[in-house]
Order: sequence, then structure tokens, then C-alpha cells
Amino acid sequence: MSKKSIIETVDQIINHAKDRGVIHLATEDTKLQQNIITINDKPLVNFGSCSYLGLEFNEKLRNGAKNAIDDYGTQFSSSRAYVSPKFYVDLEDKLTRIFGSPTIVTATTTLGHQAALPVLVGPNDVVILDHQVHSSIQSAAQQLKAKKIPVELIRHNRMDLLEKRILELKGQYENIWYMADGIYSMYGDTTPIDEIYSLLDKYPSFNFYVDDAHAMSCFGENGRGFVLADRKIHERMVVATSFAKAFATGGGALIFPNKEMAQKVRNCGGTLITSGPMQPSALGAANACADIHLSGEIKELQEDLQENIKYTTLLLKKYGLPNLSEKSSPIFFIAVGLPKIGYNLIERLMGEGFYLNLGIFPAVPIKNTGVRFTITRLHTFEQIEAMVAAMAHHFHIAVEEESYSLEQIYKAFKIEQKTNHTQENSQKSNLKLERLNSIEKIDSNEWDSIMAERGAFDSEYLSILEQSFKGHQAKENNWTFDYFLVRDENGKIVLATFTTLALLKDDMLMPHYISNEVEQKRQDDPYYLTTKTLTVGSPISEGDHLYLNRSNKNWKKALLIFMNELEKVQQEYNAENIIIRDLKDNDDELDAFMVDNGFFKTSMPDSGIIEKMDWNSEEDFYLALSTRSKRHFRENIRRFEGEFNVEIVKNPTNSQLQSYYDLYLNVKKNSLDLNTFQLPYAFFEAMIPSKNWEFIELSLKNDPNKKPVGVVFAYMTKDIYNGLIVGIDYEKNYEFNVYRQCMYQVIKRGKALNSKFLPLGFSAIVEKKKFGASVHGSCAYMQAKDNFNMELLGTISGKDEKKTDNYGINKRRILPI
Amino acid sequence: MVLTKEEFCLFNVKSKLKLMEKDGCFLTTKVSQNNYLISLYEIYGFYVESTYDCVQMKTVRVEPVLSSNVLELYPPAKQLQFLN
Repeated sequence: MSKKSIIETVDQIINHAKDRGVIHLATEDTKLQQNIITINDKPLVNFGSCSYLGLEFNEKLRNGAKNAIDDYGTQFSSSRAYVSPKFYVDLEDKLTRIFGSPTIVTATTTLGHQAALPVLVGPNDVVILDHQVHSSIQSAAQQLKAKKIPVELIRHNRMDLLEKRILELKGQYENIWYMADGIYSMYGDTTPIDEIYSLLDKYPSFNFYVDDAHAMSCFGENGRGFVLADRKIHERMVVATSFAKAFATGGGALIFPNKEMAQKVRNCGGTLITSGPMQPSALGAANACADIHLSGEIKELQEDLQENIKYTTLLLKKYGLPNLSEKSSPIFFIAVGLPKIGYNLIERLMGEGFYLNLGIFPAVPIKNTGVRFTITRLHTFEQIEAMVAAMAHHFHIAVEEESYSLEQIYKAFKIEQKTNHTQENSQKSNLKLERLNSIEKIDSNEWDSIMAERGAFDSEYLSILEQSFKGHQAKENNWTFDYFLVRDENGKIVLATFTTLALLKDDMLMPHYISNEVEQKRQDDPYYLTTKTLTVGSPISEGDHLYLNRSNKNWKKALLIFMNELEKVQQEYNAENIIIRDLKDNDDELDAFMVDNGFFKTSMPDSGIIEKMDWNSEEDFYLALSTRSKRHFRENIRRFEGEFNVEIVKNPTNSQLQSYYDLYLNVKKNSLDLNTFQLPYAFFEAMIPSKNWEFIELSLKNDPNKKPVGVVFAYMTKDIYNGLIVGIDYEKNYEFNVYRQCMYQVIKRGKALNSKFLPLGFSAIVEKKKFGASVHGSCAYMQAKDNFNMELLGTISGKDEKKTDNYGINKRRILPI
Repeated sequence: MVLTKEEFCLFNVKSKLKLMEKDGCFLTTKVSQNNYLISLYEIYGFYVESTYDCVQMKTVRVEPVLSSNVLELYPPAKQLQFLN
């Protein structure tokens, strides 16, 4: 089974952004002029620097670095466990005065996490990661997972959920560690530090580990950051910080509540012992910078930065731009919604002479793309105003150009729209969309003429689904159907499809071993990790549900019109996710289109299709198989065929249907490849009156009661015989290869009915190949309002490292800069 | 972008001077008692006075003019009219 990993999806998105010339850039300047950088021969004001105080050009820091090189050379190559240059001792002494607590200098913040976490977190502890905590902490937490320490994910900044979890876990674990950022690097929001201190005071087993990198130097007395700005470190708290942002020297530090803890990490932290030290130049600059922090000068620098932040915030508000950031943060995030609008706006701003960052998936949910920029002390008011004015001008143009609306952006971010901007749709076309809420309202001949040959979703099949999935007590069995047709000016269909609103399992498309673990949790909470989802197609139909006439020159416009409508339907139904599934893999043009429009690609399980139906006899069929498959056929199919009674049943009795349903339940319990909810009995009852449904019943000749041991629920269209659902007796399967016999009988029945091809469905693909089925990879495009459940599934899958590597699940996050 | 008086007052002296340099227009100046040099600017449709301390050699105050009476204290060379 070929699974496209999240890594590939991320790779695709980043490559696309790279092709648009907005990321992976390099400066061309031989000598930098403050905050001006040259890219592609164009000087740009840099609004992407995290050197918030602009200290990289400070004379004292530069001299500190130069003097250190003069005194110690370019490096002092020795593990700190043996001997450190005196700069380290001086720096740690100064930092201890800055933070008011014992401090250890680390080569980088990431290495600091890797040194500290395995020492601080014990074997009887549990770790709770904030959903948006920086990837460097997430990576370090992987080391803990490897030691079987539970690592959980919690929704961003939700202190209510955190407290609930503390109460649940406090008796079970020695220490509960919550890990978060001081200031988050994408949206610039802050951790609720007052509430965290309250929890620390309230629960003796609660501990806090925080990465305050983006706040270092910018906030607090002596520039000690956001979390320690005006308070002492808590006795069960550890702070990591960075010198690679406002401190302007590179390196990092860990701040501890007491000397003993600091010494333990110094003694045992792997990367402190084995990784290389900071270079003398960086240490020299860091010492000079620490001196500035210990002087009154830092206050003035902080105040200059805050004034620039204040001016930027004011202008963004006055220009009516959707700024998501907190008012004192140097990180700004302007909501644009879709990646294509982000690319467009960044390109436009570069054209105007400004460099800004793109906040894109996976750092943010794909539909929460934004333009992320930073403000430093070096920006002038002129630069800030020119950039914000240009952004305000181009923002609306970019949104219109990409056929999107302000309303859609505000809805995607769940923020109140405060400004009115008259928007004219520049993408007017003669295409017309029809949305209908029942297949009965559509001309069945027209529908069937384009859909019946694509899979099991002709008008009769859909009518049965509509009847079967309503009025149930169990919410997962109540589905809502919508049908969409986009026609051109001549009334010809350019796009046709249908959607189902249903409660789906979030692991539906995940590998079975993940579903297996989730299902264990669902024994206590049946709706754990389930989401109301709008799906193109339905959970029990197979085939390419999206008819798109790509010979029509307006097919992309038609798709866009449909997707915009889909978004409205999503809002109307309050659905969390959208899935457009069963599309052909390796369609680069569609891939790029979907990613630009805020969808990410994921693989569907492979499906098997018997495409060659030109054989005339069973012997012909056998002779067309490969040598190995022939052997398999002889040993496992032909040898047992004589043991079975095979009957095509059109109108089963109630007791027959009940026995078929029981056989289906056997398979449902054992198959997690496409993990759906159990289908209701009503659906099977609704099959009986249909002329297109039939049941292939297998019983054993040696059973006088002729009790069914296998059943195939098959649906016939003009050209296709769909063996959609199978049910088997697993005990008899072991003895008589019931499953394989069911498959063979589907093939024979399909041939008897002159079917052109036979879709054999998802899963058990090796078995299907043995019958000569070709394997078809298909994909789905997904859009999630937030990434939380997916990230959570990522943490679950992390328990099986080998399999995780195969699928790349754990590597799905790239990190905020 | 035009700021209101209230918005202008959100900033510190240093920033106000930057705003005046960027968006303001110098009108006139006067010397007050105690070695203060007071300059009058027009910015965003209102008047602003900046007070320079000649002893400390720095601007110590930048505030919008709230009353038209203040304008009468400047030399009559400029035709000053209260703006809002």
C-alpha cells in the first residue's frame, strides 16, 4: 500500500512557495545597511528579522566579538564538561544576575531543550505539550517518548483543559509537565502566565517548562523576557531562552529555580557534554550584550521597540487589516486565509520594496495562512507606514484577484469583521452553480449519464442512501446530502458531484495501527477523535465522485465556484473538515490548484480493480493470471470452490438479511484500513427492494442448515459490478478461504452480467492482485479548520517508531521560524 | 495616515518628535522663561507645541495645543487659526 506521507505534502507546499519566490531566499548584499536586504537585485526593507532590538549593529557587541577572537581565536574546541573559556563563566554570572536565578548557557535553545528535558522529566512523569509549542520542544519530547514517558497534546492556551487534565493525572504520575512558549512565533500571542502560576501554586505535582525565546531582551527588567518580566521564577519551573533573536549573538540559556537542578542538568544533559561550545566571537558579543542588559540602556531600547510596535498596531487598525497579534508583541500576523492569497500578497509587497514572511501550513492550519512580519527597533516610522499602506492597498487586490472575500477570511479565523470593503468579483464568468438537497430533484437520466460509469453513485444508489441515513438515534448514522452542478453558458455540465455531511472518525484515512490504538480509547468514549465532516462522495461509495470536464476551458473556474460554495455549506452546517476524496494520484495541475486553495493532499488506501474482462471462460481467466497467481488460484480458490453453495439472492428474508448483517459485522470489527462507523441495519434493509442490489450468498455444502458463511453486497450499474461490502465467518474462512471465494464469485458474477470492469474496493490489496486486479492509488484533499486532531493522531502514531518512520507521521511539523 | 490627538498622545516624546518630523510642519517658535524654547507645529490637522530645555539640551515635552488662547502667545508673523 503506498501512502503519501505528510512530509511529501509539506514538501509540495514549500516547493510551491519556493517556486513563487517567497521563501528559501538569500540576500545578495556584501555589506548590510541596517534593515535593508537585497534579494533578486531589489533592495527590500526587512520585516522578517527576529533581531527585535537591532543590536546586531551595536558597537559594543561588535567589539566584544572582535576582541574575543583576538584573545581566543575563532574557536575554543573542548567539551564544556572538560574546560570552558572564561567568557562562559563571565556570561553565566551576568545572566544569573539578569534572571535572578541560576543560568546555564547552551549552544542553541534547541540543544538546551535536548539537554534539559531528559534530565528534568522522570520515568514516572507525564508531559503535556501545548498544541502550538515550538517544534524544538516537540523534537526534544520525542526523546521522552522513546523512554515510554507519555507525551500528550492539549489545545492551545486552554488553561481550563489543562487543569482538568492535571486533576485526572495527578494521582497517576509523580510530576505533570506542561510545556509551552512565552510568546508564540506565528501569531505572536502569549502564554497565560498568571494562570499558570496559579496552577503551580495550586498543584504540587504540576511543573512548567517554557521557551521564552521571542521575548528575550524585549520585555521585563534587564530584558529577562515575558514570563519572568516582573516575577521570580517558580520553584517548579524551568525557562529556556534564546540569544539568536533580540539578544543578537546566537546561543541560548536555561534558567533554573535552584543551583541543584542547574548542576544536575549541567552534569547530565547530553548536548551540554557532547555538543560543541559557543564560539569565542559569539561569547564575546554575548558578554557585551549582557552588560547592556544589566545597564539602564536596555530600558531605552525596549521602549523604542514598543513605540514601533504601538505605531504598527495603530496603523494596522486604522487601515482595517485583520491583525491577529497581541498589542505588545513584535510579531504580527495578518490573516489572509488561503496560501494563494499569501503568495500573491508577499509577491506584491516584495514588488513594493518590503520583505515579509509567509505563515503557512504546517506551522498554521492550511486555511489560516497569513502574512507574518516582525517589527524591530531599527524600523523607522516612515518604513512602517509605507509598508502598512502598501499592504492595505495590495491586501484587497490580492483577495479579489484570488476570487476570495474578506468575509471568508474573517470566518476562517473566527474573527469579527470590523471593516467594510466593497469588493467586485473580478472573476465573473458565465458558469452557473446549482445546489440541490436531494437526488430526487435532479434529472436522473442526466445524472446517470455522467456519474453511473464512475462508481457506485448513480441516482438509485443515492436515493437508497438518502432513505437509509436519516432518523437514527445514533448521530453517526444521520447524513445530509447535497448535490452540485456547474453548467456553462450552454447549460452543459462542467462539474457535478455530491457531498455528505457525516460524523467521521479522524483516523479514517490513517494506517490501521493508528486506528487500532484510537479504537481502544473509543471503548470508553465512542466519539473520541470524531469530527463532523463534509465529504465529496459518501463513506460507502467508491470511485471518482467529482465529475470535472477538463476539456472545458473554464474547468478551474468551475472548481473554484464549487469550492467557494463548499465553504458556504461548511459554514452552514458548522462542519470542521472538508474532504474531496477518491481523486487520481499524480495530477500535478490539480495538486497545485488545491494547495493554493487551502487543501492539503493525503493518500487514500489503494484500491484494486479488475480491468480485463475480455476472457470467455473460467479457464481463460485462470490462464491470464501470472504463474504465482495461478498457483494461488489452484491452491486457495479452485480447490475449495466445490465446497460451497453459491446463490445469487435478490430478495432475502428477514432472517437471511440478519445473518448477512452479522457476517458484515465480523468484517467491520476486524478491518481498520478505512475506519468508518458501523453501517446501520436500515441501510441493508433498504437494499432489498432495489433492482440494482443483490447478495451473493456462500454456504457450505456439508452444512445441512446451509448457514451463510460469506456474503457479498453488490450493486450493479450498466457497466460496473460493485462488490461493495463483504461479510464472512472468520472460523470458516480459516478452513475454507471464504473471503477469497467471495472475491472470485464477484468476478464470475460480474462476467456473467457483462460488466466492463470490477472495482474490488479498498484494503486486502495483495489478495486482490492475486486475482489480476490492478492497483490504483488515489488521493484525497483535506481542509481542516484546525490541525489539533491531526497533530494528536501524530502523537498517537509516535508510539510505534518503525511504522511512524514509514509514514512520516511524526515529521509532519515544520517549524515556526 | 492621519492620527487623532488621542492617538498622537499615546506616544512618548521621542516618537512624537519622529512623527512631527515625518508628518508635521514647523510654524513658529518662541522663547519662554527658564530657558525653554517652545516650537509650534501643525500635524494631522491640529497644533502641537514642543518644549526644548536649553540647559538639558533635549526636548522634554510635546503636546497638542488644547486652547486657541495659546496661539496668541506666539509672534504675530504667522497667521494662526485654531484648527479643531
